[in-house]
Amino acid sequence: MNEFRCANPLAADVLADYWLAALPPAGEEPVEEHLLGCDECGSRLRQLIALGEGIRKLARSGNLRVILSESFLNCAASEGLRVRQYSLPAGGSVDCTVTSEDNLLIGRLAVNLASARRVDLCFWDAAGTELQRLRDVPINPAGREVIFSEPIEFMRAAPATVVVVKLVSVEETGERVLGQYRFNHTPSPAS
Amino acid sequence: MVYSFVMEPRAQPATVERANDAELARRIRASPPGGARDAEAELYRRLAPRVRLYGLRHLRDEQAAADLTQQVLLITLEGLRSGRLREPEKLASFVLGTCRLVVLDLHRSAQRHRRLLEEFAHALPAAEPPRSQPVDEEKLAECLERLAERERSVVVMTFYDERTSEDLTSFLGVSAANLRVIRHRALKRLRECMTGERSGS
Repeated sequence: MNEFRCANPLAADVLADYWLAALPPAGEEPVEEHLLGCDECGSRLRQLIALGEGIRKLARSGNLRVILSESFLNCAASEGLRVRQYSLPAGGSVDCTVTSEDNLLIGRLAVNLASARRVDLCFWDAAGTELQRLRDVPINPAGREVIFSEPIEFMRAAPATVVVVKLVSVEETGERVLGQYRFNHTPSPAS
Repeated sequence: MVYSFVMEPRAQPATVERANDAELARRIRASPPGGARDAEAELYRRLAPRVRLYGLRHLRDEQAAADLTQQVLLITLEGLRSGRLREPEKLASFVLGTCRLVVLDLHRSAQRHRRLLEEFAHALPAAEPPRSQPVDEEKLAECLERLAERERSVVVMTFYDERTSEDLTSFLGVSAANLRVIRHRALKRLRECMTGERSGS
């Protein structure tokens, strides 16, 4: 790498937009010309690419607890990932497991989000203790379900257990349960 | 025509390394063919990783980006030697224009370029593309955990297929501008968490 310092570094958000093809066409040319003359900004772009690569790898590992979209799941399945999904209506219960062949473990919770502004996704044990709460999860009020990914290695190692998941609308006056879902997990003999 | 490069010890490494891109281009342009090997090798070493980034961005494929790099640098060095590149100060513009043409060409005739590369690739100096350190996955997972739920969903889904997506705006019920704000805020927090530093932008 040569020693020249960049006098006018590209902003981090411009680099991200460039990499994600989110710049307007006219905005790309000055960025590309700059990058073809500047190792410092090129190095920052490579760091961003490495960060994105790391995120993708983690997402593919199935070990993130994260809210996802239907088209993300379609994309993952089309790339050959094996997606194990459990769909539940509000008030529903399901016997579930995960095998060594699965790549993503997905819960699909049917819910009416029409009146909700802020929704928390809460995980309870069978004894009624809240174990974890994902606050203000991304929802589309027009949507009719919440899709979440459960850390797959954790669930593979888990013993037979019951997890109660609640979608809670957080309002000025308090909390209102929008839906409650019971997952009866048993380890897979094959896992 | 076959371009022959012999990688010899540099006569004046400090001089070549301290020259800026335009000075190197000027030196190549002013020399008889093969007379500025040090400058050519140094320019190649600098430009190769930059062109590779362009290739990765537009072709999204390591091998295609490597092919692009070799072809663009072949044309650039030939442009300098023949005097076709008249203004060395505009080297980056010339390289960018060449990148665009080669990408278009690559899309049009991948086979023809593979043959060209087979013929000329051996004549180009070698330059290992610089790679960033792979990120510490454990730390990254920890940093992702610290993001707000909305931010985590956005960065995971954005980088999974490295595209901004209309799906994300409809999924979140936000505008493209809002999505951009969420994404940038999330990336800023991730960078700060990964490096332990607070950044301004």
